[in-house]
Amino acid sequence: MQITNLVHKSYTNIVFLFAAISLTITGCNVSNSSGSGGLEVDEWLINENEVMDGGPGIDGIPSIENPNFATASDITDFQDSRRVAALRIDDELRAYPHQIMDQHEIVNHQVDRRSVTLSFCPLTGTSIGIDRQQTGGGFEFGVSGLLFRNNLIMYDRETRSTWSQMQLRSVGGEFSGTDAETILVIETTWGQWKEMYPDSDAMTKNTGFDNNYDIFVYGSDYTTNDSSILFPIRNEDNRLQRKDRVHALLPAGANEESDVKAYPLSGFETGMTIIKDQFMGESFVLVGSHEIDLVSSFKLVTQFENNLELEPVNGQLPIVMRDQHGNGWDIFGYALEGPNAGERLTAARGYTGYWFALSDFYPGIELYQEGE
Amino acid sequence: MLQNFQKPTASLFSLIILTLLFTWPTHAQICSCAGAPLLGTQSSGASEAGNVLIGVTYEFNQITNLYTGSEQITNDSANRNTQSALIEINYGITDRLSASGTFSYVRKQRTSGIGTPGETQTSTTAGIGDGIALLRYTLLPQSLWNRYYIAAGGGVKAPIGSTTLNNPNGRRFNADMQPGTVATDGVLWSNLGLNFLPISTINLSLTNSYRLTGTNERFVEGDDYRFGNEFISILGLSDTITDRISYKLKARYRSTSSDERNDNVLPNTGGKWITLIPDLYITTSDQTSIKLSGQIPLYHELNGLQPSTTYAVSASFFININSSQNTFIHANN
Repeated sequence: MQITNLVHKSYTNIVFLFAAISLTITGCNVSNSSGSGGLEVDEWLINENEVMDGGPGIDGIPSIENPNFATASDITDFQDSRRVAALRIDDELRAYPHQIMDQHEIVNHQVDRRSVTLSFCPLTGTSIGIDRQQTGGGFEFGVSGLLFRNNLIMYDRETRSTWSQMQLRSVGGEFSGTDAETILVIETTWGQWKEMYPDSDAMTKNTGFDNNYDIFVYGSDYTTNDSSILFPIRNEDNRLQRKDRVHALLPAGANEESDVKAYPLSGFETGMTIIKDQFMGESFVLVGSHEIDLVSSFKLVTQFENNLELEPVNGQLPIVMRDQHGNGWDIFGYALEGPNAGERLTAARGYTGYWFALSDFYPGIELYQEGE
Repeated sequence: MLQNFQKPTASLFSLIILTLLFTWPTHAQICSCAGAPLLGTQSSGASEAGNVLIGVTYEFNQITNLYTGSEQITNDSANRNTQSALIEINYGITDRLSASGTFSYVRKQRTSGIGTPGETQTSTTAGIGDGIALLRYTLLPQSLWNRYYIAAGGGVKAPIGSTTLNNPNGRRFNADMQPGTVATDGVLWSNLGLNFLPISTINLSLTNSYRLTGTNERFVEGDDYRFGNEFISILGLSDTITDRISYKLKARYRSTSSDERNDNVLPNTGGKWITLIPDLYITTSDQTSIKLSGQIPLYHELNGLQPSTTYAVSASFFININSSQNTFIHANN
């Protein structure tokens, strides 16, 4: 009897203790959650049910502000085979190694007195340049910690609006529906970039963070392994392999229903190749090479641009195209030599990324067929 | 048959076999539990018939540091902590067979945006965590005539924890912020002990556990997610300081294989940890005792880039209810 009482009393005490600790560490609910400083979006322009918590939280992946640059030819600690994103604003050429971007995803800085954000989503392999002054007034972007169909959702630190990187627009908050003013960004390997633009500036590992930039944060085969996908794909499209890289042309205000056209890099020849194509009733020219993993696109807007007879150029990098006037054009569409030297072609609204991501974002995506 | 184990040679043989059995090499996994303890906190004893050992533990686990491989990275942008309340009930069915159940309540907090120009964000989740049910059998009890102790067991980790917690905006938290895992896991456990009486009051122990993880549909139906298998080996040395105070110094090796999604290995998951765990036991009465414990990380070898425990502290309170009232089973065993 005494034992029974002892058991009962002890059991009661210990359960009370457990309950007391549990309630102390959480409040009074059996199951709850709370947060502060998060992004409060009343209405999303994308399917809210597909907006996922990627894990690190808002700014858990810290962006880089005011990065350090050095002359590309002087930098020896990046691997030649790994990719870089790069942009050009007039005479300022900047390269952003994926080795660094994998761990920061966003760089906010000034290029030639313009407020520029370079964003990179490692999961979808997409690099987007944004002119912040033209987009919303110069605010900085941060990593929201949210994903939509594997892709980075950014937020602006002024209004806390959310921005879909691959839709190139704000998808929630004060700026909802506003298009980002993009800057042409190309991607190629670090080795190729140094060969094309040895005097350009490249972001160094001196980022202000103590990270190891030599590792592969998403696995050494993430860029090529079709099975290595971190979040579900909603719209699978088997016309290409998942990790095939394609260059996509998009209209302004692109959303899931928009017409988007994709050009597989594998469709470009080993040497420099030019594709002239029509998309949504407008003329475009794409120049690229499968071998050097490089592609860029231009919209033929002016009469001068429409009358150009562009031919690919090999072995004369950074010149990749030449026209009937003798102008030599680089991958950013700048005339480096010839009678129109200093002028530039109109950049198309587009970017390069993995096929699985583009086809998931834009289920009706049109795939360019050679000979169209 | 079991009496054969009491022969010294058989004991030594059992010791070797069980050590080998539960020390096979494994590949490994992240702190997918994000610091929520379950296996490592189990008391090492197997109660005698009719005895009930109840323990309540509070643990605070601070997760600030980032690691890549064995290299620590200064991380000023985010930190996490996990607080857990655990209750373990261990009942002796016979003198050799005991059953135990561990239930948990888990609170996780994630703060990000520290040191960046934007605001910091703090998210908190709390709820019932997963539980473990184990059956343990004492193959070789320790006695005045036998310095070896061998026990082994197995059970399941039951997915009773919450896994569907949303933030205030209604968005589902990532798996590492959820108290539970959704998956049913198999658990193997063994405990080997050795004393040196009458020469010394020092005890040596080796506790091994292996968790074979099940799969869950983490995102959508048909999308299989599997946390990595987990192996934990704890080598302990214990001794008495006074009649009522004793200590145990433990070195814990933990290895988890990488998480998998649809059979594909996920980056930044899995790794190996070595942790020093000092325990202090205070016997407060014939039936009760207290354990104070800490965790000091000694070595990491983590896949990719991962946050990991910076330190952890815990306090436990044990009540032993002995039906025969002639022995007190110490939680330290």
